[in-house]
Amino acid sequence: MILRRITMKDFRQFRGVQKVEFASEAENNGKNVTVIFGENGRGKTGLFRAVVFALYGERRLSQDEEVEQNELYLVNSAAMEDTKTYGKPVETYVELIFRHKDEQYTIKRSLLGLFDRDERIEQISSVALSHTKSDGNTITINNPEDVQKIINSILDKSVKEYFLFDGEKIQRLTLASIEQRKEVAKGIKSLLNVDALEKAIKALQRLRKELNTELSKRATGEYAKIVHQQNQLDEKRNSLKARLEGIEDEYTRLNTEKKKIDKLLEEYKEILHFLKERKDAETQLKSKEEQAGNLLSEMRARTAKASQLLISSTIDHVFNSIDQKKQKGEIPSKIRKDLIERILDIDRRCICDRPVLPGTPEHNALIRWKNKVSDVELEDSALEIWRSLSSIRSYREDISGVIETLLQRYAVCKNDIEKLRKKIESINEQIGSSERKDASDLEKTRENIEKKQIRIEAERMTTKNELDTVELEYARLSEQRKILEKEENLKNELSQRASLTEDTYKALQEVYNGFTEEIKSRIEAEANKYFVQLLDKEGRKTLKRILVNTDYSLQMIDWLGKPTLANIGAGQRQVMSISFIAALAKVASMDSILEMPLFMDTPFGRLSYEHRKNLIKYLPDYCAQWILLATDTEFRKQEASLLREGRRWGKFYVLRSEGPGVTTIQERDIEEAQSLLQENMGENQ
Amino acid sequence: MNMSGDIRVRTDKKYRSLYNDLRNLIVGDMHELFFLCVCLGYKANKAKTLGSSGEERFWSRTITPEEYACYYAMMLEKNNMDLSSTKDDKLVIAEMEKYANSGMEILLEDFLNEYCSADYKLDNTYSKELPKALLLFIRDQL
Amino acid sequence: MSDIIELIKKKLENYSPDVAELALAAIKSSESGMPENSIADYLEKVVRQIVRKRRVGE
Repeated sequence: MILRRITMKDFRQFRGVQKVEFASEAENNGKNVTVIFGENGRGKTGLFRAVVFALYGERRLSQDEEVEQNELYLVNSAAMEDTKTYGKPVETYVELIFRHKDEQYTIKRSLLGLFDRDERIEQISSVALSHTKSDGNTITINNPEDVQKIINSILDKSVKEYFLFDGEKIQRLTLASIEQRKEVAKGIKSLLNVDALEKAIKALQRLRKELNTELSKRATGEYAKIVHQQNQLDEKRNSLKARLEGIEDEYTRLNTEKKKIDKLLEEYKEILHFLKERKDAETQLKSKEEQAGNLLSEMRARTAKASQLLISSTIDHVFNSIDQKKQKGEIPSKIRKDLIERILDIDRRCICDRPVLPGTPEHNALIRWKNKVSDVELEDSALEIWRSLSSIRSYREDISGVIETLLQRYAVCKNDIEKLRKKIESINEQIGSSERKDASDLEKTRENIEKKQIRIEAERMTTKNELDTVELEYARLSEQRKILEKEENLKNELSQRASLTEDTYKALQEVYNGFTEEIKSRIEAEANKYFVQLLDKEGRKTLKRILVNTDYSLQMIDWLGKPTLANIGAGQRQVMSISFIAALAKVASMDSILEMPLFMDTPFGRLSYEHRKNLIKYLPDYCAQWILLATDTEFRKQEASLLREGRRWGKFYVLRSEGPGVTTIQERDIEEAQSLLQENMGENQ
Repeated sequence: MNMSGDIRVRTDKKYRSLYNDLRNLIVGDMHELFFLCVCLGYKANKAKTLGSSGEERFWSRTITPEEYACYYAMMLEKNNMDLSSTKDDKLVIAEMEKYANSGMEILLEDFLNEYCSADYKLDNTYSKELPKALLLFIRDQL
Repeated sequence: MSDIIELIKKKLENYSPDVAELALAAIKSSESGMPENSIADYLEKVVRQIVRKRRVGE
């Protein structure tokens, strides 16, 4: 299948009608590389989804297993908003034109999107396949089942996962694990499309079991014993196989959980700085609240002194009065009152011995003095009052100042408290209403999952060994049974039927294994051819070849013949998986089994310059079409330059965001690439 | 200044809970609240007799020398600087009680009414910021 | 896929005719879309036929 052109209308992020023409050797002078360039989230995978939807009517990709149904809409959201306004449903379609065995096909699949009250509904409205034969005649098929049969015969849908290689898939292939084996096995089996064969084998197995059960009821002696033993082993084998499957499913489930946790940890990292900010703000808030509390205490302590300010005028008045009397010598009086009283009332003579008689000027003068002066006690009291009031007056200004300062400081403090509270509120809004789990909890859970996975892997090995033992034992018993049958010359029809079934079952198993073996060796051979081309100088010194094991795991062998997958670097692992992927594609296209385009999410991330150079140089030869989905961080001037030099680069498209959920596809000249792309960051040349 | 310590200073009995509640809230002790009320009453030149509604509130020995000095000052001013008016502490205190009585009415009407219920019970919801509110109130009276 | 069938046919030439016949019957019936237990039932009949033919020939 060689893709020619895809046209989308209101599909996913692609608003309106958008087209991409894919470079192909036949149409573009030997150029078969198409680059789709855009930031993450702009719709690169959307293009691949469009291809899958057009061919198979499928919405889900394998990467969607964790995606909610309500996030899997195909109709462009902005267009859907318009339907809300105008009430008309949105008609979405994808039209794909491709060539297969020199004949042209056009498949168009349409979808209607509408709102039923607030619920968003999408329904497939039609599909049409036009087939233009080599004689020029065109036939159109509208029946969905017939369309599917034809498409599956060209490129079976089980292979669709192999159109697209994203970082995750590449990653799965690089690590020796159950996932890797599953991935490899899936790839190989899907190439062969041996569903029918597998089903036939299962049916024979079932028949064999039925016949053996009957046989064990009717046979006698040693023969019966063996049949019985084989039946038991069969049961055991089935349960072990079921256990293995269960283990693999559990492993996959644990991986899904791990991924979820990793996602949460990522999110947690994102909010980490918010959490720190909030903690700081909370600490500050606490300190400010304490400060405010202290200020209130200080204010309380100043109430008495503040009250004094209310009677400032009284204090001043009294102070001044006493002070005046002091100045005048009236307090303390210069002459004591008791002396004057003694002169007036007792001695009636002055201290100079002159008589002081009532009515005389001297007597009157003394009376005047007496009236001016007070009791000693009272005078002392007045002086004390004067002293106290003097002291009160001296710190009056201070008190005023202190009170003002306290009030101001309190106001500032309250203001700060308010600001901090608002800040904390805003941070909380940004973090979200649900409190994130503590990262350390998550990490612990993750650790436990990994431990569990190690245990499961060990269990898998044990179970596999048990299974191998059972198979050996079964085979041994089969041998014995054959001998017995011959010796005892059992012409019994039942045993003949059982025997024939057994032989046929074995035969088909062998044929099946033979196929997969053949494919495995071919893939291994091709993978190694590519590997040698793609690997950098450093790698070629130590790494000899890729091995595809019988259990479908991938291994890397060094020049000493030792397995070394665990020791190789990330870049080399990536090259290994790309070699495997390319080999799959190549083997699939051999013998005209199938020819498929390769969509690859930029694989340049972990690769050294030499690796990148090799990849860009050789990959266009490995497949019929190479569609490179590139992000701005991975595809830069250097990569563009290398592609241009390779002369296989035929088409260049840039995905542009026109707004939220709206992307347009713009074809650009390859020569423009240099000006659009970023410089590479100081890497070795 | 005699500053007798053995006089029982009285206030209106309806202010009993207020004196208790406001102590430690806006003042350190009752004598400070009394002093504030005296100053408010004296400044407004209002002196309301206690009569039978009076109730012993605290001992005069808790009154500070400064407060006493202020009480004497007020007596002197009121009595035309007659020093003999400060001689008998019982009379001084009795006079101050009248001013405090009026002063508390002023305090309630102009300040505490927001924070009190009808029966002179303090509402604790607002109590935290009372010291600040009081200082502002005093400042506004100046 | 008929290509695969042809390849399988070729491989089965290495086995006895009876085995080849039964094997092909199994594959053809599973290709036709029959469910597994129906295939098993069908094959049971085929096995009987083959064995009966064999015995008649003896």
